[in-house]
Amino acid sequence: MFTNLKTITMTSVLALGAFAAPASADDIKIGVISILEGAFAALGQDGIRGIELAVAEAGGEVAGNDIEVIVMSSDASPDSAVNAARKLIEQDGVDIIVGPLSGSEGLALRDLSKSFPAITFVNGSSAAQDTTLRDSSDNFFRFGGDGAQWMVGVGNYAHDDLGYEKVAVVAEDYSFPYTQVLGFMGEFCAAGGTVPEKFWTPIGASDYSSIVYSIPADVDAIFVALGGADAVNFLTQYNQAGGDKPIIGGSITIDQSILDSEGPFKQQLIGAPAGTPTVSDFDGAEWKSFSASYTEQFPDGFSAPSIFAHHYYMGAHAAILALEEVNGDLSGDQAAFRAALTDLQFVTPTGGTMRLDENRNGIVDNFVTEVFEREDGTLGNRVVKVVRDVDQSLGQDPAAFLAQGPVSRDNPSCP
Amino acid sequence: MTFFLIVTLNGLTLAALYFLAASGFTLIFGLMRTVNMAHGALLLLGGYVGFEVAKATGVWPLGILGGGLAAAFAGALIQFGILGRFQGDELRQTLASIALSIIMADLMLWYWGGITYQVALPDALTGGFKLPLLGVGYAAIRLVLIVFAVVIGISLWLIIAKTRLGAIIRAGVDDREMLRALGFDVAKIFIIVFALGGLLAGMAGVVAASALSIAPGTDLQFLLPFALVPLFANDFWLIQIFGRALILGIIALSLTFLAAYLGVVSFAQATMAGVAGYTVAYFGPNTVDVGRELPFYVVLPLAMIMATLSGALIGLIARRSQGIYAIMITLAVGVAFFYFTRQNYTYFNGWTGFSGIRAPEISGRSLREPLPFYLLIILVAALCLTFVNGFIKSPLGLTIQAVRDGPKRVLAIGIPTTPVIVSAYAFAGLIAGSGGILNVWYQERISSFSVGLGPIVDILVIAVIGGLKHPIGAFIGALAFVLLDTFAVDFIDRERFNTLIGLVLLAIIMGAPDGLHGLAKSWLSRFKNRPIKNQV
Repeated sequence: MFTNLKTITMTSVLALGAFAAPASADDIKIGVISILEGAFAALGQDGIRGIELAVAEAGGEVAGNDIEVIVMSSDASPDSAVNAARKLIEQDGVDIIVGPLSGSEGLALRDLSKSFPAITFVNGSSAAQDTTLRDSSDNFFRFGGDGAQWMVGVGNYAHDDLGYEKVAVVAEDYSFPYTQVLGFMGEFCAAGGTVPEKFWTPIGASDYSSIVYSIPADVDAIFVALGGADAVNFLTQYNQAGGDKPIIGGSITIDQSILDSEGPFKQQLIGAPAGTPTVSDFDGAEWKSFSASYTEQFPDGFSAPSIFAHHYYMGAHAAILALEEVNGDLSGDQAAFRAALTDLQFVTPTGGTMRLDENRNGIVDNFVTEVFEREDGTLGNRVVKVVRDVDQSLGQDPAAFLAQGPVSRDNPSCP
Repeated sequence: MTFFLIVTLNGLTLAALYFLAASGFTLIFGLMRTVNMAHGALLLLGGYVGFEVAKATGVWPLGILGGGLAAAFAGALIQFGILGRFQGDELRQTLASIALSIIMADLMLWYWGGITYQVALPDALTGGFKLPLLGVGYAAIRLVLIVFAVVIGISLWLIIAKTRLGAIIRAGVDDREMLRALGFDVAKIFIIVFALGGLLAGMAGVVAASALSIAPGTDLQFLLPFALVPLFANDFWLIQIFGRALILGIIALSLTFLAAYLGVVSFAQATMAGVAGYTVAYFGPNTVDVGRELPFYVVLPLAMIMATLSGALIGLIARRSQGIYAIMITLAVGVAFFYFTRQNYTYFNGWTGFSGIRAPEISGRSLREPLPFYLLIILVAALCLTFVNGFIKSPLGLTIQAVRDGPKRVLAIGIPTTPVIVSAYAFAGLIAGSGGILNVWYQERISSFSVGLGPIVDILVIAVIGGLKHPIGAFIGALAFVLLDTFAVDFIDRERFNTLIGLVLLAIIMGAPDGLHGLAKSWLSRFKNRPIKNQV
């Protein structure tokens, strides 16, 4: 009996193999890399929704060529993103890659893009600073900001409007939170605030009690740059311990996906400011229509597009716009297409004008938001300030900004 | 003083939580010698069901009960349907439970989605609790945790030590045959133990979801893939499929070597490979400004030596451990190394790790170009295979096998076993290190991800699906693994490919006890109308 089972299994393995049908040569193939497994799966899935939205808007074709989307999953590790990209390029023969989701993956794909000059890489939602700032790659484009750009406006708001002088930092110990902390502290320290202590936690930590009880009693607020379950865990435990300092959020700390999570800790977030490029309850006309088409197309999605849907959408949208401009012409190692991408300007869902700097990094809109309770009891973010035209040097002189060196646990510092 | 008390309390409450989470696992392991890797999935299931029950009824204790019962039922089902079939075959039980955990995690992700849940606490337990001595607030739920853990611990001890059921369970562990002869249904007793373990996991899941939160991702995540596509010898197939398979095969070979000739299953092979990889990264050209560059002809021997030494060290630590104890201790070493690389910035550059690692150039041609690289990989793989085959026939190799078969006799004739075991691990380190060097050139990067639980389990899966009896099994398993890893997502709804992967893994583990190599061998012998040799 077992033998028959084995035979059937092996036969179906072989049979499935025969289904690898090649696509027609005129199709434009877009490979998408997102995280569809593990802790980030729900966020990665929302990124895919952004892609589907952009392709659906274009009617699934560009200048008479069908768009074929091929999805690969990575698992947040750089190795997996590189393997996924190589498979998309070498096996599926994609022309353009949109992705990845997380910072370390973005750096890895930036490195990889140098080995594949004939393929164009358009970033998804990864936001490490050095992906474009240092050692950038000619065929890697980011129609969005980095983690520091996403915090612009918050430091000044916390100091000048909320009157915070001393803030403790709790953040995960890797590149993206370092960049977020830079974006916050850059403004906050310049405005005269101090950050006496920074707590770096391993990503995926579940117990934060030692940090909860080490937070100095004399700080005015806590800047929390944690994501997903880490943020929920920290806020829960801080709340359970009776902690009552106001929270300042990083860009993925108070994202819609977290506001849609279940749990009593959410009450503590009401009124918390955060910096983000994506605001679920923004009332700009462009965002309203973007959000409406999202909820119409994906009734099972979040109650509004997340940062991931928004950024994957912008990446795919930019690629499609540039393809339309060159009538789908990808010849000559995509030279015309890339020139079109480089000079592209379009109105973003947040109402600003997206364009790239010389490192092919987006000059973006950023929002300072605060959490509020809607009438139905759910939570949303509302805008308290819009900062337009944020560049990667955060408005400073680019040379001086670069000279401050790469971000780390100790850079910047203002105890 | 306050600080001291707080730290102590933090330690105690966290320990209580871990005790609750681990007690079910320990119970099953202690009584049945089953390493139930699906325990985490049971915990998650209990947490989710508890969340639903608590939300529907508004009563927190009902949530705990509901979550516990759901996980108990699932646990009984696992033992009855799958693990009970391999009672006594610990490795296959371990692997089957890994496969189950993948399937369960993926199905739960499907049903409950990837968002984070937190179970609402009763009002009495919400917020801080002023401790008389401390003068500061302390989370009430955490104090309840300690009480809960103590209650569970005492009840468990009472059940095992003082009740008739406990006595039967203990008897079943000591002498199954005798118990059966006395008229007890041993299989049923083991199912009860599993249900009890599941109950504990489920309740712990709900409590953990109240104190922390639940979300997918705590489970083992790895891929076992599914597909064969018509063969084109382009660079993709050359390097991404066959090259990668051979590299992983070399690392798995070091595990197969230990399993076949020393009789231990080691989870630390990815760690030894990682040591070599990190050595190459630290002393070679990289783009992260950590380490210092040495010429490659110095770096390569150094990396091999480091990997060999790491193997010897792990051997020294694990020298007295056999069977599942060797699995546990090597797994502990591997996970400790993973966390160390993630948090140490001086030598390992933490989370980010090393990138921009380049294979050396010889007379202007990079070894990383597809064809030279592939030829190099084949050469190394062939060397390693030859080396293993030669080594096992050498006096030391024969002594290693003697230690596997009868350590006491080896001692009796005056050969100390420790140096023999350590040198077997060291040799495995050398093989794994060769694979590790190739792997770091292949990936052109190394970071904590490369030595994490994912790669550790991948290597084990490769070795087991290939077959642990013969060195070539490692390469067969690696090829199957890489094909499935690369193409699974193409052949199934992209949201559910992990379920399929788990099912295939389970099918191989249940249907082919000697892995693909054993399967192929028995097919071949049947094809030739020869009687199948009974392999024991």
